[in-house]
Amino acid sequence: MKPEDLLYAETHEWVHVGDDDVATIGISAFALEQLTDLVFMELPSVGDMATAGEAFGEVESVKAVSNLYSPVDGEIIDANTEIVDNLESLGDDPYGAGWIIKVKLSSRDALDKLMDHAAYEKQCAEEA
Amino acid sequence: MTQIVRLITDPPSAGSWNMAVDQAILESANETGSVTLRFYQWTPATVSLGYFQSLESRDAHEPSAECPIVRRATGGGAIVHDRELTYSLCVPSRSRWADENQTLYTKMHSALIACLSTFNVTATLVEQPAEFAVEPFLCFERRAVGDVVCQNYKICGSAQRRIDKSILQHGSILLAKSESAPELPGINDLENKSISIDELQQQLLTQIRQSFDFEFEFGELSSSENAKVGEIQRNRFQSEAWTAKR
Repeated sequence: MKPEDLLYAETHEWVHVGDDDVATIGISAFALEQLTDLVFMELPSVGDMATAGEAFGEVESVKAVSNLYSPVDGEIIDANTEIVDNLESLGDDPYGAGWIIKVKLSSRDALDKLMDHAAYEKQCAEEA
Repeated sequence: MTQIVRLITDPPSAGSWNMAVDQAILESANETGSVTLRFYQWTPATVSLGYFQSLESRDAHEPSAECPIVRRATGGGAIVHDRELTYSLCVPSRSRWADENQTLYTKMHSALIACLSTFNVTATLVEQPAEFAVEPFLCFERRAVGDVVCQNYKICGSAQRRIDKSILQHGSILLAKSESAPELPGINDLENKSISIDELQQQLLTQIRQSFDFEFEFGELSSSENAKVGEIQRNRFQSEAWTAKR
């Protein structure tokens, strides 16, 4: 997936919505660059419900545990458990092999609050 | 610009209560943007596990086997909280990924180093992390960049929890060796001093005030925070499911 084609949450998660209303979610390259020495990740179970703006997982980097926030509402239908054992490779392909969860959307409402790539780039420039 | 900071000092308390208070303050900071510095101690001597550590990993540390245990919300290794001072600092953050979150470790630890120098104790920041085939169970046997060491022994380590718009950073300052962790000397043991908890706290406050440009106002938990503490303690830090989640 190309970063230009994705939607982004203020909290730095990216979203790709397929024709089947399945949203693939990951962490942006900008956020991953700042997450040095990622040592642990906890993912939700398949079947759990994701709620926009609420935590769906957690990561630990340099003794800091951070929440991962869902940008969408729906049922979690897949979680990338392979990445949990290969966290060092997460930054190699954040928009491809580094996806984290897939969510079957129960509503598209939350998508309206997400940013396109240009707006997200602007946010990153302000935060850098 | 000077930041007004609520200062809370609590008497020695149970681990689950201490962790619940830090969590309630973190959630308040997220809602209100307020800043709180808290000093506290633990009774009885308690082991706190890093968020991602397994409960069974404590079996490898026999001296603390009789201590109650609590799982923290923050990362890093286990700490035996006994003859030490713990601080927590909750601050708003514009992003949980921002570089400045990382510098909070260095800033707080540098204030501690300046504080210790007033007692003629020389401490430094770790510049190179130590690499282990298997990470030691105890935080104070690990070495991360920015930890505080004295005579090559770690005397302070901190960890963070980052949520949407705020950060909790808490850390322990080891004043003296505990019977429950006899392999870890504290500042007084290493430097042949008798610095009290109160003296350390007062001097550290002075240094934090200067380095962070904080103005302290003595305070306590709000009624809504107090209500949250009970709920968080019951449902999380006292709960078997939370403690044994890994």
